[in-house]
Amino acid sequence: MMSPRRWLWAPMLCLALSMLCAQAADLPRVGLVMKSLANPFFVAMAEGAKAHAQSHAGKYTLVLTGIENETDKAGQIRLVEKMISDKVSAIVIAPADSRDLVPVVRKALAAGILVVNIDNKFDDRVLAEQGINIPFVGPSNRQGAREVGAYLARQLKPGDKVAIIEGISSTTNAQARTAGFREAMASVGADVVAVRSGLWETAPAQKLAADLLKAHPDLKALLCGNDSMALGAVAAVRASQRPVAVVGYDNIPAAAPLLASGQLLATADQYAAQQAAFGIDLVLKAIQEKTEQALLPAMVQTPVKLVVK
Amino acid sequence: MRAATYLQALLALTCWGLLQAAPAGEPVNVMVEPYPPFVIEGGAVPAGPYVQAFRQLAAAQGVAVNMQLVPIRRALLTAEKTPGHCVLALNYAAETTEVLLYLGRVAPMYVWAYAKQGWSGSLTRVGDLKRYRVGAIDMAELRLLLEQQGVVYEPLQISGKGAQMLAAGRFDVLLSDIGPALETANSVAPLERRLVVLRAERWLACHPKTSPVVVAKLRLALREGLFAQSTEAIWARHGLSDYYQQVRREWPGAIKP
Repeated sequence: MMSPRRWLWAPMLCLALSMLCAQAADLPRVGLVMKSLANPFFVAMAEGAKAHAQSHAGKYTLVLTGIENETDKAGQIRLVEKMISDKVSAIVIAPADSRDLVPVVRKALAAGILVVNIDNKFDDRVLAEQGINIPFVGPSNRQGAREVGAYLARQLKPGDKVAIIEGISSTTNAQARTAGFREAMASVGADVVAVRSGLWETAPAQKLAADLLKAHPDLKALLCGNDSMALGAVAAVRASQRPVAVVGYDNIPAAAPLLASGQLLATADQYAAQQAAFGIDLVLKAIQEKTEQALLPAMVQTPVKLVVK
Repeated sequence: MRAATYLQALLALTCWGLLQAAPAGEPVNVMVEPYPPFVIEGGAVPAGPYVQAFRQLAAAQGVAVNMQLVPIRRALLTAEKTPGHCVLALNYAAETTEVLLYLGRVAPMYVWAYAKQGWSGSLTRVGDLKRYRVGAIDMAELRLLLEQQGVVYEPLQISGKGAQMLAAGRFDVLLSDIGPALETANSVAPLERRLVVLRAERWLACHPKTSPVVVAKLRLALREGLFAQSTEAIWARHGLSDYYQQVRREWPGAIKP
């Protein structure tokens, strides 16, 4: 039989439990929509986001998702639509395309969901056309690529021929990285003989690199917009048995042995594991302070650094 | 290193909080380079319809502006590095969008293919340029288009020299947006427009840490570019009523509220 003292504790315990449950139900749910989960860069980003969620337990719930390959824009649009129907509080998104994802995130905004952009910046022209503000949290890809290119430039001389294998050409970060590479090559007087898209992925980049090596027998270097494509370029260079330098971007784990062996000359680290965390911090602060979307900062810059052997 | 990186980002977010609390009353420094007849030198300060319309539209939203004439390259560097600075009538360049905030379209711009009068070449689409020697103004959107079409071209170091270089036979076709200046130049051989190569826009772009309150107000100010109904008298005073009406009719940036 329960003592009177226990009778007193029971309702208090029930009350405390119900308050805890209510609190859990009230926790903001933050959706993280990434690009290709086959790309180690985004795997690292996902791990960073999970670690952030664990270290902020009781403050928000993380809903993590991503697409199969870099070009699956339709798949990513569906993921955002699912987030809208699930009524998340905020979406942090690394868009697969700088323009085509804007309409669906506009839908999210209309549904009262905060949206923050990481990794690949939305096209300002489309944002202006739609009359919306979506903050970008990320590094200057141009600056990072310029530093990687400058490191390569030390071993080039004026007139040397180089080629750029860029990501999906319509994306802002692909254009920014290509611009950074170009600036570095211009500074040494190197001749950029080709700029082609390797679609951010290893296999297309490998084929493209093989074609470029064949078309330009005196090519001195291949500058790749990410490390996944650099892996393909390194394989093509190895097959050609020619002394062509390769540089990449992102500092994915698979780049480490290539850097160590000198097959990859340099890459850039923009802290994948922490990028999503930066974006999540921004939305949590906005939720806490009840800041409306239009008054979020348009840009929060994050670091990027050169990585060499 | 990770902790330091994280702290940097937290610091940036804290700065945002402070910026939010700051009043929007500080004048914004807006740099622009001469672009006749839209931006002209009025002594030490800029004048012309772009300048007057922008000043009026910003003031209507409670944003004070300090306008300065600055060469475009220096203006870009300043706006990238110095909070509280913007560039007016800038061409869009995707590679700068991570260091500059393109917050509103101000006006349409057209890049034309020019040739010497009587030139016998044929241009009906951009791809036709592949058959000729081409000189082009240095502009990111144009560069992207020409590269996508496989057009080899000579980028102009100084845009204003393009007409002279075309007249001197350095190339067959000049791609340029400086129509009014070209057409009034009397020191070069007569030129004719052959093809619209690109329809683009000029922008107001600001330092990324510009106060969100100011950004929101400027976005509102520019929702019809520099062609809001309220600016009609300014355009008329400069003898550009027809141009104003044409833009109001044809440019989506002015049509859409």
